[in-house]
Amino acid sequence: MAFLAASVDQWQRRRGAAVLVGIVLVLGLLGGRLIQINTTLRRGLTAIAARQQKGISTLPARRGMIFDARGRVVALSRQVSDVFVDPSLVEDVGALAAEVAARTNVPVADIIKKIEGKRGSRFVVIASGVDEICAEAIRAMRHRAVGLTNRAVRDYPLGRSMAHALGWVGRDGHGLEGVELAYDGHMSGEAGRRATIRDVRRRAMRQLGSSTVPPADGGHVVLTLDAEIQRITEDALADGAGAYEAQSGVAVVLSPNDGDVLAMACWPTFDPGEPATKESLAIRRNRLLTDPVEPGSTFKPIVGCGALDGAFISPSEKIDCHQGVHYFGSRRVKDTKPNGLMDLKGIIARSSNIGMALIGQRMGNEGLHETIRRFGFGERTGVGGRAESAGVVYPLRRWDSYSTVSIPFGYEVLVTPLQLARAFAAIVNDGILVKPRLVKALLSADGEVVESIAGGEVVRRVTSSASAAYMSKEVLVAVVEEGGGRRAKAGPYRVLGKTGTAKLVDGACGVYEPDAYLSLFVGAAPVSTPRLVVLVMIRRPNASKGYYGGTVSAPVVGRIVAESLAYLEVIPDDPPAMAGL
Amino acid sequence: MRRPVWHLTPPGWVIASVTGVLLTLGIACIYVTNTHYSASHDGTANAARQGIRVVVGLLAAIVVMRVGYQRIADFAYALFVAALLLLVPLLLARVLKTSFGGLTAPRNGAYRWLHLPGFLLQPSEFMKLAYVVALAWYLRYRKNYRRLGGLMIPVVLSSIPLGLILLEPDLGTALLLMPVLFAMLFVAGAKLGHLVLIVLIGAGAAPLAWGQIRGYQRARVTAVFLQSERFRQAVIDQPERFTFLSDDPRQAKRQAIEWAASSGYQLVHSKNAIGSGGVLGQGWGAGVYVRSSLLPDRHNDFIFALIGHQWGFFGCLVVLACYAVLVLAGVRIASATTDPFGRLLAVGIVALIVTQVVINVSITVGLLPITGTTLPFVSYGGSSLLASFMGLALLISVSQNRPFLLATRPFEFHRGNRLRSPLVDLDEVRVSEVDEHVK
Repeated sequence: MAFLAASVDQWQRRRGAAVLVGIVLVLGLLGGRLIQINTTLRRGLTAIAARQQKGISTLPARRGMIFDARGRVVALSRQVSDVFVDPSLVEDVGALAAEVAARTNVPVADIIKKIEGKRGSRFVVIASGVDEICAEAIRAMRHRAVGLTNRAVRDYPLGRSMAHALGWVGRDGHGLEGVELAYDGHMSGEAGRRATIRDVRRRAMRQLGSSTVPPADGGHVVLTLDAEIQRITEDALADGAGAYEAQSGVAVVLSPNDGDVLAMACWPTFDPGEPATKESLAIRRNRLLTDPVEPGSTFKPIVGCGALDGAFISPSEKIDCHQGVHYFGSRRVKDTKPNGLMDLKGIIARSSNIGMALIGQRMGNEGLHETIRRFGFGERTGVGGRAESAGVVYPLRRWDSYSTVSIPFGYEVLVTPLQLARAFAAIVNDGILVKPRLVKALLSADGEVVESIAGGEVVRRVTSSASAAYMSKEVLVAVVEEGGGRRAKAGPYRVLGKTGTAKLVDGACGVYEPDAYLSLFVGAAPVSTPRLVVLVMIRRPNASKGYYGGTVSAPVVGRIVAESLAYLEVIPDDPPAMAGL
Repeated sequence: MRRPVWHLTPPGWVIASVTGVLLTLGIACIYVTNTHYSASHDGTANAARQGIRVVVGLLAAIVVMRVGYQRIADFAYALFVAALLLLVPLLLARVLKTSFGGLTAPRNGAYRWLHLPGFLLQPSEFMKLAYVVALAWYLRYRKNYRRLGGLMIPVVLSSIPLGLILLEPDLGTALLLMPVLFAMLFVAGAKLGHLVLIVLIGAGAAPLAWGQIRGYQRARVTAVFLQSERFRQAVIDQPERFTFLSDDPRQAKRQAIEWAASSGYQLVHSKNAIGSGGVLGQGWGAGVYVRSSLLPDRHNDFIFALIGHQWGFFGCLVVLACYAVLVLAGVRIASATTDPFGRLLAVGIVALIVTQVVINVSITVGLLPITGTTLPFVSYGGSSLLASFMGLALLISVSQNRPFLLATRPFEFHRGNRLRSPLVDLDEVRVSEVDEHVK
């Protein structure tokens, strides 16, 4: 064999030549790849690279504010920053921590712990929600491991007040409930865009001027709610519901002629700034709009108006109320107190179920159904958006002889608290049903009125002027002054209204639960020209302490009326000073 | 016969010239490159720093040449052990998760640097050189490379630095050692069968290693495959078919979708930098990749992309040609010497430099997964430059110090046998014949 005979020297040279050829081949291969990159791959690569260099950064729009009826700010957005550290770029943790601590007011030890604890991460938040001064101090550090992210937070200066009406905003800055949701499009504004050339860290390096679209800040919303009346209502409701150890309660204050919702309260309430906390969805729901109930005796004035309008009864006619017990077919109906012959005023003032059932029989199912629908039950009021319930009024064909008896005293029909308050407002507003409104106007970001939502939009006349006047000036005044609503008296202001005590159905069993009541009172004041309609509904008061609407809810209405009218500087019907003269 | 240090041999002059070209190109790139995100231009400072390193490297080269490669040979193993010891604190730092008071602080999650006062030292760079010297010293004995048992020792010895470097982790340096070992064994005259066996063992171990390496390393390997748009689409459509990419099909799909922005980001931009350079390039200091930091590490590991961007295909060819000339000169030196240690040393150094070049350029053009390797003499970085200078100094030293011999003595037996007959210079068959003859 030749190579065996050759010297090792030659042998190694030959192998060296082989290595040389190999190296040249590999270098040639690299050269070939360079040619390939320069020719075939070039276009696609340029496209990918261009796409990565060009970045669109969003310029967030500022969310609009919410004002109450008198221009108090009840919701506003604020820009805050979170301070973060990229631990992989930190060389001297101690020095960095000391620098950051001095600017953010976070203890040095905490910062070191956070950074050391997530050494492998690229993003550790050191301080969240810092203000602009602190953010500027951090920016001035110009440290490559420290950065800021911006976000908007929604503040509610009234705290837990008005929470149900306002709703809340999600982490993405969009409304999730209440007015925040209903007017989200108006308040969100349009985010702007800025096209930039970006570097490897996706930081904007240079602006591509022509394609910048400035953000359009969101507009503002002006509510009809009045923060002070809201406070009065919430305080009174909380005290009233608390005193009777109730499960929950709602209250609404309406202005009867223009339909403005002046206060809207649910108890217990929650903090709209922290919606995702422990409070359950049941507490956060605006039960005034979403939870229909059987209205009980508060329904009697409405049926009464229908009976007067249809001439089924005249104000002077007296009906035998059968001394407290009467059988309708096999059904036994009871009154709380035995009554004899009574006119309509007496029936409603003393809240006789038997009397109402007899009137109902005169009206017939058609008459009752028509009256109820006319007063707006079974249709949405239109303030609550998609979440609002229409209540439940069964179609006429499903009504039977039982309905004829039950409906006149407020069973077999489900109404939302707002529907009931609105129907009362119609009675004190000369028989004209008005569409309630929660929002008065939409303003632009600069404060110009963009859209003014007119108040007092008439839905329809629901009862004759005469019936309405008789009902409000005579019958309902008698309820407060002689009947079960005496506790609703509000100092110098004369109050009219109607009590109600409805039994509650146990949802699981479908039967009326013993000792579970809904205590209602709907009132209006002052009697001469009512300025407010107030509804208070307290659910499941401790029955051993009291459960009649006139006991539990009427004092709450009285307090709301007295304090609110004083706040509104309404002159009392019989001023105490005058009475003393 | 000793020559003065400045009296270079013709191949020495060639080597010095091309090195000069490479250094100039490198510093020119570093000078125009801004590595900080602030507005201030720090390319000047970096270039100045690199210039100081060149001076230090030249001084080190002169010292090495003055000492001469033969005297260094006496310390071959000691140097190897010393270089290994330098790696130990890094390994301890990684295992114990301490930085020995900042001495071994990690950068980008890798423990590769010793933070000495004033500069960073990357021991693995010196490890490579010590490894070549020790290997050349060992392989000068014939019995050490013609027998499988003798081959096992370099393989085992290689696995020590390999293991240490892998643990740092520094996959690039570790992979570099294998081709160098292979080239030296091949040139020394190892039996092809043995080499094939080693390759087969290595190939068999690769799947095992695939299971062992970390997720990000795996992602870098798969990023190379994902360069093909058709392949990416296939992965997106049917991720469950490509379980080798990731155990989790969703992970594989995500990798494919995010390729251009995550694992393939550097590749996209390095190739685009070269591609947009065209034939003659954008010019010195011009082009978006020079001015902006779109391509990370563009002044060290990805400097070849910057050369392609600024001086185009032509510039790339010049750089590759410089290395080719360097290889030719190195091989010329290897073939001219008769000293087996010198020859293997020359081959080893050439293999070391050219393998780094091939790996670095292959990474830049998307033929190999991204690992931290430098382009010798061009990339920004001190340890690599110093080690490369010392390597070239050894190479030139080999050409300057030809052993004074009466007869060709291309390799030697044990020192004790130096006085044996010239017949021992013949190959194995002859040796056995001699042995028979002696009997």
